[in-house]
Amino acid sequence: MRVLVTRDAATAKRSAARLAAAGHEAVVLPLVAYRDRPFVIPPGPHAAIAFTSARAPGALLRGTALDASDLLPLPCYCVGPETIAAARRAGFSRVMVGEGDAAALAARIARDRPGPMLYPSAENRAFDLAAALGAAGIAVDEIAVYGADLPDPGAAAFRAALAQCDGGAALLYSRRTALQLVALAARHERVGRLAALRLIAISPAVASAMPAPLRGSIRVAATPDEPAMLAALDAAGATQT
Amino acid sequence: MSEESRKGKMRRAVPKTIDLTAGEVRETAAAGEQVAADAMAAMSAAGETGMAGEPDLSAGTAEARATQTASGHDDAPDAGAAKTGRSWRGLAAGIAFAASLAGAGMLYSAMRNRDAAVADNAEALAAIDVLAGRLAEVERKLGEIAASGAAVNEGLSTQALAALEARIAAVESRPAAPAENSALAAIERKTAAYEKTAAQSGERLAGLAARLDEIAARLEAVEKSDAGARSASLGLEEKAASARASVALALRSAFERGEPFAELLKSAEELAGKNETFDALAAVSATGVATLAALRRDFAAHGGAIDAALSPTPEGLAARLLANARLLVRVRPEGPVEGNGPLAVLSRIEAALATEDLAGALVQWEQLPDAAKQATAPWRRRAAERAEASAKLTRALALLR
Repeated sequence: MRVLVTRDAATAKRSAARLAAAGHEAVVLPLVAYRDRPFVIPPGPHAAIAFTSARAPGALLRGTALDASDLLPLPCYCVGPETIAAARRAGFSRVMVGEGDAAALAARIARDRPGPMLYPSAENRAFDLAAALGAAGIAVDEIAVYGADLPDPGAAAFRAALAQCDGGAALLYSRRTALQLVALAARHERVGRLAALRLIAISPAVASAMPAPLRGSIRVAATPDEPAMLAALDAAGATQT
Repeated sequence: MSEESRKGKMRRAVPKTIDLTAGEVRETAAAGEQVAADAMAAMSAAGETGMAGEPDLSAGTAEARATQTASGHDDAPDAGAAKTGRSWRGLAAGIAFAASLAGAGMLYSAMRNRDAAVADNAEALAAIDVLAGRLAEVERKLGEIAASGAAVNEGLSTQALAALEARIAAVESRPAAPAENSALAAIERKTAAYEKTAAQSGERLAGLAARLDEIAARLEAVEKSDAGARSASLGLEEKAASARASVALALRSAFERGEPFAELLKSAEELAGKNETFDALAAVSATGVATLAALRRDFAAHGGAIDAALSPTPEGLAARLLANARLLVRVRPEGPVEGNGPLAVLSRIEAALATEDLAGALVQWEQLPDAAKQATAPWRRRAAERAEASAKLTRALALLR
């Protein structure tokens, strides 16, 4: 099955390989572009770190002008397996996985109460972890370590990509990219093509963010990760064929 | 008596030196008083004994004492002594002076002794003279001493008292809080000032602490409300993004379906903000545009007319039959074909329509022969209306983010 992948170019490569391994063909149309941004790590001290994005660990270590290696021994609450892998790649040793999305991670942290948290995140976050933890009485130093832009690949590239995966599926990795996909379909006269695609959402939150006419055709991954999305994709293909 | 005089002489021959120091003045004066008292006693004793000529031992003792005492002043100038001893008057004057103080009795006794002895013993008289002179001198000295002592005392007391009084006055005239006290008072004032300052500082500190607490509380409140606001704004932003996507999807869907989309356009404008791009769509939004499917279908329906227009008028029956057969069979190339021939243009128009590329189809349409253009002019009008509206809608939806 041809599968539209709207992740950033670098990550989409890994997804394409995974899709190919699963017998699918990836149609890569990056609808998000990440950039590191400068920031200052608050003095702390911090008892633990929260990562709700696989991009955050690397951006945290890249973006600071100072040596952030003293952060590496801190326990890291990661939202999912990809974030854990990213944290490990960045050099963090004590990684703990949350139970799904950022809200579940917040609940886990609120239970553990490790102490003051450092929360390196994106400029535009899908879930306000700091507010959730703050409400639970846990101090959170939130720093935006990277930004996410939503580029418009242009009518031609967009239409070509949708034409290419006609009758196939689209993987919705985040609320923002999913909504950007819808907006671009409307802008570039491809709402019909989009509606014809099988849509696989990484989480219920992403699915619920989609416009009502598309919600009926959305399947939600059992766990918020790519393997679960591929499993949902296969299940959707099986039921349709 | 003569023996006593000799004693006096003898004793006089052994002068003593007394330093008249301030400390001894009083003592000397007291001695003088004692001499005067003894002289009085001697005088009264002489009166009792009458002219016996033999003064009793006590008188002699007193005299000797007086002489002894006077001998203490033997270092007095001899000129003074000679002068007082020149005459009775001089002696009397000396006695008068001295009597006012002390020793008058002794002098009287000496006078009487002298009266008695005048006839008998000139030597004794002379000795008495000398003695009297000496005595007068002693008396004078005593007087002087007493006077000077008094003066000294006076001076002393005056000076000392003045000094003392001055000191006392100075002490008394010192302010109620003397130097030490004033320093203490200054310290106390300063301490009070410090305490006041400290109190004020404390108050200020307390005020600052209170303000800090207040600020901290406000900051916390702000942070909470900020977190809430951020959360709310995040939620709002998410909802807005979803709403924008929903409206965009609905708007484009309505447009694609050829339905009127004025209401949705209004919603989109509300989300995106007023823009002339929305105004440009106002007219067409009331009616909607032809659907792409309809345009594709209609273009295909125009096929016969196009073919007829493209085909040269057949000459002869066989040619007409062939032409009719072509219309029936519709021999057309599959997919877009390059070339300037009418059939190639037609193939590209239909391929563009198949891929929903209405604009591309219209570009190709311009390359059609005039006859074909005329035959499809109504279609072209509807297609162009849709294409133009779609392009405007794309611009309008680009504003919706």
